[in-house]
Amino acid sequence: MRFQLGTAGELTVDRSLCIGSGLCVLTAGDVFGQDDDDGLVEVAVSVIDPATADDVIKAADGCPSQALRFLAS
Amino acid sequence: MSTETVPAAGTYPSPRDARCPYEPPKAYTGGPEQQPVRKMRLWNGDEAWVVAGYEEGRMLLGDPRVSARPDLPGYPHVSPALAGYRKSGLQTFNNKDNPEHNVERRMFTKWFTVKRMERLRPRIQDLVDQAVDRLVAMGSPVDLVEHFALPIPSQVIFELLNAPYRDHEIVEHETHTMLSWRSSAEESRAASQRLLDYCYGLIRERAENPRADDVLSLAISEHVTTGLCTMEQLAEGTRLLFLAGHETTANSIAMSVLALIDHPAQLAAFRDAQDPRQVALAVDELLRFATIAQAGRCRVALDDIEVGGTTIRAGEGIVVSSEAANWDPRVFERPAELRLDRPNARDHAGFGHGTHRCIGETLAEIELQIVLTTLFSRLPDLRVAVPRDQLRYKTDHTIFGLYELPVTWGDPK
Ligand code: HEM
Ligand code: SF4
Repeated sequence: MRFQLGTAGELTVDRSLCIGSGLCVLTAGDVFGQDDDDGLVEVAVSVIDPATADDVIKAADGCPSQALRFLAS
Repeated sequence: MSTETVPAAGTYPSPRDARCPYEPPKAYTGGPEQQPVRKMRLWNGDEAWVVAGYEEGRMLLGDPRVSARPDLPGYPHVSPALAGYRKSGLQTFNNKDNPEHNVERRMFTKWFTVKRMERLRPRIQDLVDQAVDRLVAMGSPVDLVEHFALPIPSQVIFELLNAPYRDHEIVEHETHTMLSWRSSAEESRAASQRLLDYCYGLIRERAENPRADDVLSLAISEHVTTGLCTMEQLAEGTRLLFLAGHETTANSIAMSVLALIDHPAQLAAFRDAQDPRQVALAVDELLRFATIAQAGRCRVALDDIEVGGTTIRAGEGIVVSSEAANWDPRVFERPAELRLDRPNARDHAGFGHGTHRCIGETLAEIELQIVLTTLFSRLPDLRVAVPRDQLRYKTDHTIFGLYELPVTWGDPK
């Protein structure tokens, strides 16, 4: 899955790598959640508000499994 | 740099400075800025790259060219006990690579989500309140490790797995034998087998009598009967939860209590903290300052990897030191200072990094938050009851900490 982060860049989400650490939820709880069925990441919105871009980038940097990646544009 | 030209310097693990129980061994921290990666010798004569730098360690732990498999040649066995059970062929996801690792870890991930862990707060608060009541009833001096730090995480993990707490002595005994560096390879292997048999017993019982909303019952119906995992994998995963969930949190509690007692001004600020975020940050700083996961994250390189000015060759062992990373001055300014409001304490390396990052971290943090706020508000003048040189530290164990922490207090609240 790919999400545009305003003009900052792009976020890619690869659930196959996710280990359900929940760190992204703690960093950017408005954007990320964990699926009740498997504990893995789910993006709670269809479009990411550019106002949350900083937190989303921080979450991608902190993701231990590289399930979240930020690609600057 | 070619590896042939790099001689091993010193042995891993090295002793800590007896004067400071928080400081990582100088043999591998001796300036991560000068030498983030160095070759050291292990107890059995093998050599491994010991990684003290924070960024270097993170890079390696996040790299799929780095394996956690102890059955591969070159994997560093850092103590006889760890060699004993890691070589015994009884392996679970903490010692597997992806994709196998993720398949097995996912038997448990949904039970450790942030949302679920937050819902445990009231129950953990009850357990902690009862534990303080018991301390008060016993009267001081009392050993905080035996009567408080160990029973709380133990009760929590037993409840999480719906296992009968009356079995706790068996589980605590076997996990201790598996992790103590004083155990021989044979003792550790035998303890590991007994703990596995115990887990099989639990799972067989749950296969016959499935329960609703239960970790093991749902692991059986969703992961074993569907063919994703086997009963053996479930039993070994369950053993890992017992093993990793016991002494870790218990020793963190004991070391955090000691660190707060040692820093009265910080403790006063901690007691007055109103904002839960302030408490959470303080717990992160305590996990950084007094790092307990001291055996290092053991790995082996699958390919040649450039890191910290060195080339690690395919087949060479790697030990990423969490305690050294947590005291890397390039990341944590003046690391020897406990600063409960350290802005980047959340970045500490105490739970590892990469696909093996701790599954219990949110649980452990919540336990520590509740334990420390409750203990120091109920027993405000808690202090160590023996001269400091009588405290015995777990320098001979996979998890650093205290064997006993005798404490005393004045009037409880
Ligand atoms: C303060 C307490 C704790 C600390 C400091 C801690 C530390 C760690 C570290 C450093 C790792 C990474 C190991 C590696 O990369 O080789 C780890 C993994 C793990 N921890 Fe914890 N832990 C704590 C509490 C817990 C608790 C309470 C549980 C379970 C209820 C738990 C379960 C696990 C499991 C299952 C793994 C293996 C994860 C994997 O390989 O995917 N830990 N822990
Ligand atoms: S931080 Fe990464 S591994 Fe953790 S839940 Fe989020 S996406 Fe998954």
